[in-house]
Amino acid sequence: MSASLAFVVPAWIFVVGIYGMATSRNLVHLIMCLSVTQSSTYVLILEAGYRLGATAPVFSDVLPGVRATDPVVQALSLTDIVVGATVTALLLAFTLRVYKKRGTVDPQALRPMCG
Amino acid sequence: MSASVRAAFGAITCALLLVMLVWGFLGMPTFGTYPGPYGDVLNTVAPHERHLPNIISAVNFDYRGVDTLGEEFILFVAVAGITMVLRYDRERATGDPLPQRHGRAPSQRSEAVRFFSVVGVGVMIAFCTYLGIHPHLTPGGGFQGAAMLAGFTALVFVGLGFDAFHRIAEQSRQELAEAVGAGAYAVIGLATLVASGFFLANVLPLGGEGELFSAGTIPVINAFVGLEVVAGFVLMFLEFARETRREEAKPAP
Repeated sequence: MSASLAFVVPAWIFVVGIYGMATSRNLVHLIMCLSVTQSSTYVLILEAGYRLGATAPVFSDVLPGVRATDPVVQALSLTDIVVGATVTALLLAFTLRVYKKRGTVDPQALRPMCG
Repeated sequence: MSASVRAAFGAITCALLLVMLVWGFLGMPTFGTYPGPYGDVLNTVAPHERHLPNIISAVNFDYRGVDTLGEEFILFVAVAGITMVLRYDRERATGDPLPQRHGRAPSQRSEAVRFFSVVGVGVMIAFCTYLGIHPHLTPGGGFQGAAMLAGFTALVFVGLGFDAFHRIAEQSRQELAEAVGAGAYAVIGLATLVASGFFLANVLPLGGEGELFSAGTIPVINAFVGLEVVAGFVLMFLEFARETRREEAKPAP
């Protein structure tokens, strides 16, 4: 088995978020759990691009050619964090709408979807 | 669906998820041994090709600039969605989609809260602008700097109340800035397409490495991305803050 325990961390964050979403009794709590689940992907791809003993891919203090980590995954997670924040806000706006319309934010009380 | 059926369905899904996770875990490479080659090629080539030390910005705004364009439009559409949903609801409830004065009475804030939020605004604007305009030189850039910069308007809301916040974050200017920021990225792409035959090609002079005006189109695109992110976030805060101004809907007769 060549896998490392470091990859248990994103799996744990993912599972905790899924558990929170599945057992949630409040839509705001559910959206926060969704953000937690989403952040497990950042940890996973940053770990995939990591290299032991390497520096960050910013060559202002170190010369180009020094062993560095993968810049592609870092660029991906950077933009995704900002975009993820706005998508979370959009979901919260939907939650406000649900609350005004139905008077509750408990997903179990909201089962039948009606306009 | 009854509770027991849902529990059984959930148990099956969890078991499947566990199998997938274990399967994926066993297939992962050893931690800390990134094999390349894309990151290594970029780390070697980009400092010479683009005259900049921060390779992450080179990926974001140049080599994979098309992806960032897509991400920027996701942000734009999400903010537009927030605005539409909240305004539509307010208009239906009170007939006024953009309430300003009525609603809750302004709450009293202590001198200390007001003092430290005003001090914090200055520090935040200075630091976040510094962070935002150096995408090519330091680990910063338009996304990080602008997302933090938008926080200063939230600080004004917390420290000085809705009226001061509303004067700063007046919605017409934010909408214009957001649209300009999102549109300019695509316009730059089309301009480089005309100039060089490649979408988002780096056609501007590269300049000396480490200078503020270097790395060609990267700081230009970054500036417009920053404009869009800051305007989008402020507009988002504004729409949520307006919820506190909303008069309660009249109870149905």
